[in-house]
Amino acid sequence: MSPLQSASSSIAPSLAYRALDVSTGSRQRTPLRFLRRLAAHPRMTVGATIIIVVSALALFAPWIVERPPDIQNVTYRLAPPSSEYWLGGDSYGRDIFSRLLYAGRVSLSVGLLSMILTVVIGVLVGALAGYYGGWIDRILMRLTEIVLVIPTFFLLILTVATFGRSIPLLILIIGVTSWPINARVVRGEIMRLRKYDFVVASRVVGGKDSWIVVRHLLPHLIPIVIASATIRVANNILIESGLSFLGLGVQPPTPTWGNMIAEGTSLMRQAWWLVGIPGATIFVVVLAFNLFGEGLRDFLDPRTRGRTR
Amino acid sequence: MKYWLGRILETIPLLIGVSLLTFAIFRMAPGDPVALVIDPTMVSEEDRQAVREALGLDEPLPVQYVSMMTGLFTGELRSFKSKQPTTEIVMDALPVTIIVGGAGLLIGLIVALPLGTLAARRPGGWVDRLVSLSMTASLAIPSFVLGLVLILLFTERWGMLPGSGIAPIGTIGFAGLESLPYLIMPVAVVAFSPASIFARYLRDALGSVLQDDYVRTARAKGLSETVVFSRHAVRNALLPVVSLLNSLIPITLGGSVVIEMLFGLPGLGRVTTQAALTRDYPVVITAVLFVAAIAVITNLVIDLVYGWVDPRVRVE
Repeated sequence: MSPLQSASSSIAPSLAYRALDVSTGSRQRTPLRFLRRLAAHPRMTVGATIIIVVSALALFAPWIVERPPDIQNVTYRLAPPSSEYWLGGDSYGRDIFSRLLYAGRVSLSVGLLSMILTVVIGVLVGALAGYYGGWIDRILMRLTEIVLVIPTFFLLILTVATFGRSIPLLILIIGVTSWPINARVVRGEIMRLRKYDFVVASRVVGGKDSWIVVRHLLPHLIPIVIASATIRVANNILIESGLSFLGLGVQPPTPTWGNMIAEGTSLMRQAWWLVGIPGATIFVVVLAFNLFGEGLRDFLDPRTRGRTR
Repeated sequence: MKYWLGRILETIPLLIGVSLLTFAIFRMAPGDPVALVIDPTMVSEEDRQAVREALGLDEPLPVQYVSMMTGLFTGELRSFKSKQPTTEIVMDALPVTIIVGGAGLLIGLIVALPLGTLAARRPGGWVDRLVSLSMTASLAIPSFVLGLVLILLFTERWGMLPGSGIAPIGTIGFAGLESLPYLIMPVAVVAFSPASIFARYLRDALGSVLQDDYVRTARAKGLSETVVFSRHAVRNALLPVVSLLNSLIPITLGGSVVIEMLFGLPGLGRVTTQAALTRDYPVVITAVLFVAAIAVITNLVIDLVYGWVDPRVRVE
């Protein structure tokens, strides 16, 4: 289990109770108290703000930038940041600011969409293994272990080399290879929860397995799943940028933060901003998702509220 | 005895599972695997037939799997490009990956020891905050960005360290001490993340160990804080921290791909990436199997050592 996730599972028990609390007690909260609670969690608020700003910039890129990302202008080849080209020009004289925003569309959607896949598979495998136990659990956990033990980038390279490198394929590949940790977290939670009286009661009155899992168990997992999904986005953005940096991810001329860095590497001596700007962007965005995810976890968990880490 | 044997036997299905998954991914590819494996314009029909034979593609799937695995061990599985047995290629590249990765993990642990201890001695102090900060940063900085920053500073700006390769031009492979400057930056990049994770976990583990009765006893005996830490607390806190290696080894091996490409190190990650870019499929498969086997076996060794050092682990 990764260091990050093991930390999240240790606080999990109380998260489940919090889920109940959110559904019953939220109506009495006033906006002011809500804001005050947000202010008590600066990491979550800072993370969320950065995520919203970056997503908006990427989403509205066509209305924000002055020129499309693929327009080449020799005058601005390797131009330093200026009032005309805010973040400078790249080796083809393209506007780095424009490319950065368009790259954000690709990198963020790959990160988000692959996260959804990761979470769906992780919850499915974890819930099945945790609820049924026995041989289903053994088989699924062995599979989890197998995927986990193959170092991620090698598994990705193998898969990319086999299936190709289009953007939808990359989303699929990153999603399909990164679920094991989420599956383990969900499995642990379900195993703990299924012993509770309300589950036994539901079974006594004739509740079907699928009903018990979907209506009684999964709602308890929502906080922990959301928090870990946020951190997963950060990881998947890092994976995409790494693959694109290797030339095995999204192919130029479609910009992503990773392949912008790859393109700039050979010229970074003359123009550091070619790698510095996309590099800093990845750092800030991934940091924001991590902060938001960790902050959210604390926010939803009454035990860690107010505790400094 | 039961613990050791059980733990060793557990790795066998795991290794078989890894090889099956690798094989399955390769065979799940749409269309003729040979067309996928090799660029039709680059390779003759003879080569295609050789590939079919090497991979046994006319046979039923289980036979194919078995012949791929035997081909791997007998050296019949060959690279499309160099015609060298894939195991040779992989074995040639392996030392670089193991040296850089191993040195990175070791240095990470060595750096983390004093940092984690100091952080635990003064919670909220500046060392503690530094450890938390570097943990946060290490989770957000892609290793290639960190590496590029180092190259930009130490190679381009100050000219202190060579930024690419493993030895001076004209020498092949490791050149003893002369290779050392080439390894400093890659090892530093590898070490950054484990160092912060180890330090952070050591701090947390120390935090809980310090609540234990034997620490109170040691303090009550009048032992100095330094002795309490070095002789009692750190030793016990280190055990769970070292077990982090189980998850850090696959992560480090995976990270080696990007680092080797960036620094031009002739290791397994670079060989695999280049093979993937040229669709040299047998090399990719062999590399994945090797690297997964290394992860499985090192995990086994860690668990065995762990069971030897801490008898509680054996009773489960």
